[in-house]
Amino acid sequence: MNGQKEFIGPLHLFAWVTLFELGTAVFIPVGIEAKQDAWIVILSGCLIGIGMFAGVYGTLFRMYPDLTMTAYLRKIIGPIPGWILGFAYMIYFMYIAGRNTRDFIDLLTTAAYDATPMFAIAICMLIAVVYILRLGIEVFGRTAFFFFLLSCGMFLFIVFLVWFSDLSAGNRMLPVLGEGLRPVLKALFPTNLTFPFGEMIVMTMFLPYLNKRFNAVGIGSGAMAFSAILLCIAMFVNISVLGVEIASRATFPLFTSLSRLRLAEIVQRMDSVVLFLLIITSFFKIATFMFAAALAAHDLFKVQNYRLMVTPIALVVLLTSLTVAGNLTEHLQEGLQIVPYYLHLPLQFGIPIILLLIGLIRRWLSSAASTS
Amino acid sequence: MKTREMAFGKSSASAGSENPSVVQGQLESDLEANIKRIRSELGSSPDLIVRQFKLRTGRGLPVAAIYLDTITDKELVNDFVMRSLMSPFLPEVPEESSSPEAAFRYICDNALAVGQIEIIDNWTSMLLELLTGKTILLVNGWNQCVCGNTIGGETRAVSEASTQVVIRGPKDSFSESIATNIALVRRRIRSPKFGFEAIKIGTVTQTSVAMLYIDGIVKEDIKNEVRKRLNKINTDAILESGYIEEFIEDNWNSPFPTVFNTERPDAIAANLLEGRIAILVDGTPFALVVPTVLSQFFTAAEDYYQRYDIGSFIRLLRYMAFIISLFGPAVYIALTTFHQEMLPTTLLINLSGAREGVPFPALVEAFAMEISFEILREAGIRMPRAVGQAVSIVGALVLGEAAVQAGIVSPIMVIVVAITAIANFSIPAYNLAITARMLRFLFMIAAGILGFYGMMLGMIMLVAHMNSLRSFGVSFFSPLVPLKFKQMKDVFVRLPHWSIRERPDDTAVDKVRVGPGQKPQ
Repeated sequence: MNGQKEFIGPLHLFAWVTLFELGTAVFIPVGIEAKQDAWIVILSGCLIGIGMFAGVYGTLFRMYPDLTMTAYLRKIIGPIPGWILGFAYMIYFMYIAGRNTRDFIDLLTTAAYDATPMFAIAICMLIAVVYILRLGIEVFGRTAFFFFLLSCGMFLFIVFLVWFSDLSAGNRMLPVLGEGLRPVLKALFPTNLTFPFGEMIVMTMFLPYLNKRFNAVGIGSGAMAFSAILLCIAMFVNISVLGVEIASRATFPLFTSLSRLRLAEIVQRMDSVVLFLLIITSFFKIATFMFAAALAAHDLFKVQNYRLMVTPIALVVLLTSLTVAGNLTEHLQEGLQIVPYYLHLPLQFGIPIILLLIGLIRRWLSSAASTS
Repeated sequence: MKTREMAFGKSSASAGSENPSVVQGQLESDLEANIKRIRSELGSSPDLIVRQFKLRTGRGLPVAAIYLDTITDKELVNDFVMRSLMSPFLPEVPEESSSPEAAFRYICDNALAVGQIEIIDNWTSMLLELLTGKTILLVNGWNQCVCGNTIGGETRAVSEASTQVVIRGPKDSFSESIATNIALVRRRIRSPKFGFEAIKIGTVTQTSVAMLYIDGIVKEDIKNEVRKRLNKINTDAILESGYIEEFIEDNWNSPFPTVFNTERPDAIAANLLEGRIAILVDGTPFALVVPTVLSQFFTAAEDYYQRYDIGSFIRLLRYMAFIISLFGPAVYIALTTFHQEMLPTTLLINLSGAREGVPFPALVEAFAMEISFEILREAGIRMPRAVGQAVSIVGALVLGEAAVQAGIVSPIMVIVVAITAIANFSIPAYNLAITARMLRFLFMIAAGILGFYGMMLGMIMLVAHMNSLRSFGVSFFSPLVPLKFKQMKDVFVRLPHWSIRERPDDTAVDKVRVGPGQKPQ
């Protein structure tokens, strides 16, 4: 760690992206507005996300393989507008980290900790995040890998449980596209386009830190597809155990469904497994956003060591998470109605596409100038 | 041959030469002056023996044999130094070359019947040799001395290992003498590639420290790093290998040990064969092994001597024991304080029935029991054997039985403490077991504050911390992180010897260890 170049390997990136995508998305039912066709929503959201990641973010990364997103912003649209936009992205990452922390607090309060103050839950989470971020990107990747294995084990356990208990009825998933494509499209745009797969924008901050020997974009896309499959499994568990009606009305259906499953008399009330899954994935999601914000601040403010920025960012995220909404309903309303339109769509899709176009035009112009 | 002979006396390479308190300068040619100076340097120590006599040949040249009575082998001195010099059968020195120089050469070439001699001309190394138990021979009129290896004195015999016991396997263990210890290792590895380097560490104690490795297997950069760190040590005393460990370890502020230690020569031999480096320290039976990975702490020598299925099962059991001893009481606290709904109903009724009369919260109850158990254990280790009975009676009856009957703790808590303690005892490495003991309290606090959520956060931080650890450039979790499937044959389980065909690639250069086609038909 002392001066030597840190990097993370392909398995670690895969694990990181998977945990990041699963964070909160496993618990907030993605695309449940489309009833039984939620899995179609997830898969198509993932496809579009992979398209954006490989096509737009990946191309930008190939154009500037050694720069983070905030750094090549300044290259593409000039130092001052680029800096301002980079600053906006930093604020955005912090805000999303705050929102995710709030999501996590609400989930945890509902699941098990109804008497614990929000502040206590948030500050413990952020202390752990600050600790791990200060250890560096390599340790982060390796830790993600360890917990990725653990999460996969838990998923296998859930599948095993669903398979062998007689509560789950596969025919609840039918009919497929019973009401046509309209509900799917309605669920997809814009909420599930941006969440969770559009959030891969945050990875543009880490791509230059990866080991150059492997195809980071390919691995990232593979991890997105893998996490989409895991999300579909979770959705299948929800709908096949609870039925569409309950699954769409329950605040956190995975908890409800797991608490119903039982095997013999020994294996019962297995929602604790979901609790572990919730903590692990949310941790890595919050940590990823804060890491991105710290790297952005490191780049924008010319701070020698990004570790100095971690604690201040954690304080901002802490306050954001506590004050972002008065209650759960307000929080969800903002998250589902306002943020996707005014923040996610422009910052995840609009600006990167425009950036790519400007970058390509610049490259074309400069190569045209050099040849003539 | 790369091995150096047992030459611990070779001029102190590191700390000695920088130390101002060590005597400088060259020997004089006057015998009386030299003897006087030796006496004054050693503070006329009563065990200093100066035997002056006249050489039978060479016109009765005055000669002195000097040694420290307490740390030399007196038979060696008598038989091979004194007797041979005074022997009437010595060939005559030609008269024309009876100068002091010729006599000195003559003694070196013909007269000394000790295995190893060395010629020294300065005070620093001469005094050092004298203090390690060698015999110094001074000739009047010549400014060099010859020292013969007569090291002896009281040492403990090689005995059975007391901390790392095996049912099947070699029963010898290291003793306090470094020469014996090296002999025990060398007897197991009869290879010319086996090499060691000896240095003196400790400005006052001048302790012999040896670094053992097998050339051709060990990685040169790790070897250089170990040598560099050993040579950097500047302290007055090295009394045990634990001193060295704290000077050379990578992460001084981690609860995890990143230097492995053992008192078994077979374990040292096995580690050398994996490309690791052993550090032996004079005066202690515990040798250090670097670089260290986590899985070494769960490996006992016996895993390799029993059949592989037994070895694998027991090793898995140890990993489980580590997890239990780390999380046992924390899980109990979390379940009874925060997550009662996770227990099966019948068990929950039992549990709450047992805890009904207990006036404390689970955290306090667990802390009280765990701490009193820790005290009991510490008392058990260090008290005189004769009062051992009393402690076990007090521990078992008063703490266990009476505390439950008085309603201070619940019986289930006693079970939890007992399981945790037994699990902790089954970790083969004592220093890692202590790590688990200490961290257990942190996890208990985390579970007391936030239940499973707190434990999970603690676990994430613990794993992150362990991922940040390195031992001489080798990742502590290796080969799990970074993941190398080929290297996993000897981590969680031990596969048959013929299937572990490669040495660990973190430490070994030459990886082949078992030839192809060794699977029994």
